[in-house]
Amino acid sequence: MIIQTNHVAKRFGRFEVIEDLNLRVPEGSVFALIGPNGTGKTTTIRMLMNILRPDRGDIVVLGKPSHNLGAKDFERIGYVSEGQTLPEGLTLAQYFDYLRSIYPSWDRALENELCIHFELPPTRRIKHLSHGMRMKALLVGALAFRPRLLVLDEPLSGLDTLVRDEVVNGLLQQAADTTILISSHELSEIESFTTHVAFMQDGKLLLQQAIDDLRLRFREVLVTLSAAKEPALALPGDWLLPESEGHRLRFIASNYQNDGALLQQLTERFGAVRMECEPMPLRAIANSLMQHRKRNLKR
Amino acid sequence: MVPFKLRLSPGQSIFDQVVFAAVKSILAGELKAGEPFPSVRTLALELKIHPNTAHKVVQHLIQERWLTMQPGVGTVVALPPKARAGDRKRLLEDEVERLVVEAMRVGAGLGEVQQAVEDTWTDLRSLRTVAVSNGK
Repeated sequence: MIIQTNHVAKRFGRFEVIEDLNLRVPEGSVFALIGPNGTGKTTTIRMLMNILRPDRGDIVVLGKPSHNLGAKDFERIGYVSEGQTLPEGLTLAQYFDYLRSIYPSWDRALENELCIHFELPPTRRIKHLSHGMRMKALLVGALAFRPRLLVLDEPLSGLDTLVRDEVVNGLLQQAADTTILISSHELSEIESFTTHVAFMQDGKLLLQQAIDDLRLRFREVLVTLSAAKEPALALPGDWLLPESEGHRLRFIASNYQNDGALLQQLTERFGAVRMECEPMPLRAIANSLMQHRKRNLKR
Repeated sequence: MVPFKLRLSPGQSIFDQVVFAAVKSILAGELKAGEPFPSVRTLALELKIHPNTAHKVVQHLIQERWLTMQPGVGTVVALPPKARAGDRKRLLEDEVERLVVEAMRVGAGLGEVQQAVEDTWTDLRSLRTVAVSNGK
């Protein structure tokens, strides 16, 4: 594991932002941390980067406890977040000169390639950059030293679609050689090259998994029963959000294996049934997990 | 340029979807035998998939003999490989059964299904004719 957290918790004042977080980011993955705003994604990332200290639990990044991460380690970790402070008075060229002097592994050719790809104006002062250019400049600064780990906090938010596309392309070119942790409230743009995904809500991980396994595991199931029953009584715990109306029962199977196994489970419970079983888009999977959690909290 | 598109559909791995799209475009003649196949890098960038997935796809297509490695040239499209003994049987029995069951489920009639199969067949064939005549 490139990143591992064990029972991490963090509170601000009385407000518990992170509760019992156990994150596992495998080497070589593109790991998407997905969740609505105000869920603790940024706090999590800031703890991983040794900007914040967890109140409880421990964090290991690149084999080291996060509170021991120092300058040497950050020569191998690229970190981009929206609120980062930059030397506003410098031109981009001056800024990259400065970074080049810091990072021993800085790749000048890659820097040039990225600057051209991102169409960054080298003589422009940083304070005169647009939001999109600023994010792209930060990204060049994080990619050009070929880090082993790249941590990106909401790198796409507030960017127009064209710039998003450029940024995604820039990331893709690096994806083979590095591990990428990327937080976002939207999955769609990064879905195709994400290898792992974690859904976060109210400071908790709802689920973390390889994305292909996730696609196979969830199905929306619609069942027509032979007679109206009261099925809500004792359904398996991994049938999420069950709803029934007369002869019909609808739920989300969260440990689906194949139609045969599910049909057998249903038949054992309800006798003869008719079943329809649809694969789900990731967005729908995320939504059902969140709804499921909300519903359980109310009980 | 990658001569096929990837529209992400749920419930299937990215790998399977890309392999399917590639095989389809070879069978349709959009990619002809002897032509270079897009590199791993191009595949990754244009389809926006992880380079490791792109690599796996190319390796898989080589193993299944859709592609061959030519020293100095790279990966090129091979003549469509002979199917394995079980493939034909699997298609004509299992896959067709699956299609028929699905058709009955959604209430499509035999005629409709036959028509749809014919149309898809002709579409792929005619793409192929266009591609072949463009190639000359």
